[in-house]
Amino acid sequence: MAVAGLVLSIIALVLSPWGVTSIIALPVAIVALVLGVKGKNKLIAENKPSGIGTAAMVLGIIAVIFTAITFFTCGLCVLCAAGAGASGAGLGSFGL
Amino acid sequence: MKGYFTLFGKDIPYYGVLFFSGMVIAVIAAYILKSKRNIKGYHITGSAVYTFIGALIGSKLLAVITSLKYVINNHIPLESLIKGGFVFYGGLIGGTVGLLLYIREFKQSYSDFLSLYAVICPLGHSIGRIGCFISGCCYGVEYDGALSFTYHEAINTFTPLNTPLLPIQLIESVLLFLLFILLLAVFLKCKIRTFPIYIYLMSYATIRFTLEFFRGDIERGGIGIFSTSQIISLIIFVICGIIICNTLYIKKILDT
Repeated sequence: MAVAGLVLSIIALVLSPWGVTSIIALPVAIVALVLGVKGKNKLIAENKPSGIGTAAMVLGIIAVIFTAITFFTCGLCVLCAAGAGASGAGLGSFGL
Repeated sequence: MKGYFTLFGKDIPYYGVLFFSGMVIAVIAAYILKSKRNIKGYHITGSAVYTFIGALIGSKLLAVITSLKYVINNHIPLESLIKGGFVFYGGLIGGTVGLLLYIREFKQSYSDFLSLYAVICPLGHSIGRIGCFISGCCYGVEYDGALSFTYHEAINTFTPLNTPLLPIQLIESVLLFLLFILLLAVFLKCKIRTFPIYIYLMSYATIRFTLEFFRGDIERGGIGIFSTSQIISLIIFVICGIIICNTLYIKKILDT
């Protein structure tokens, strides 16, 4: 189970930086994370080395973060940066 | 400063960075506090994974459900709905389901895990709200007084530009951080182990219900005069109130 999680997390990490494939990377990374957690806990319960499970979790977390940060934005928006950078005025200002 | 920064040619929204930073800091806080509930370190990581997955699914689902009518009526591209929009309460419900699944699967203590997560949740949430402020979502009503904030540009399409607004995201961030401090004190000092859970839920429901009156983003959805989050806040408050009253009543019966 831990090995399966590691393989999936590597696949997710490879797919995550590319715009089109990042949406596939997210569910793959999620499955990798779950398998990594289950595998690691099972290995610990059996008093066996759990390095593979830890590796699956770490890579899966990196893949999820990579995908989610670049893909999701808060609120409804079309494409985040292109229009926002046009004015050059900066984010905004506080009233005093 | 803009709502995003550029890394290796890719635009990275601050919202996502702060969202995950909040999560990481909350998990670190859980590691620091785990000894108070006799929880092992690898269970913190594992439960955080399950909770995160549940929160991601729950928050996105509730966002889709509450925004769907608005999106269809205003001909907003489906891509926007998929890429944007998270609702905290959806995340809270989904995250709780994920956590409960972990607790059941690995036979851990419900009260220990839930009380620990009740403490760290507002800490992570507080940091995430700063991301909302920077991205321009979850914005406040028009307000032209002290500390009003005027967006000159925003990632969120619906943020009113060049209009002074109440920085409701920052107000909620401060209140959440204060709630975290309160819950930490209760967690460390109170003998009733489940107390932090109910204090968190009832306090946040009260905060959220009140602040929703000062939110300007009507696209978030609602029923009648109340927003979706206000209705959920009311439900949570009532349920927690019933549980507390019931617990105190049973305790009184047992003591006599």
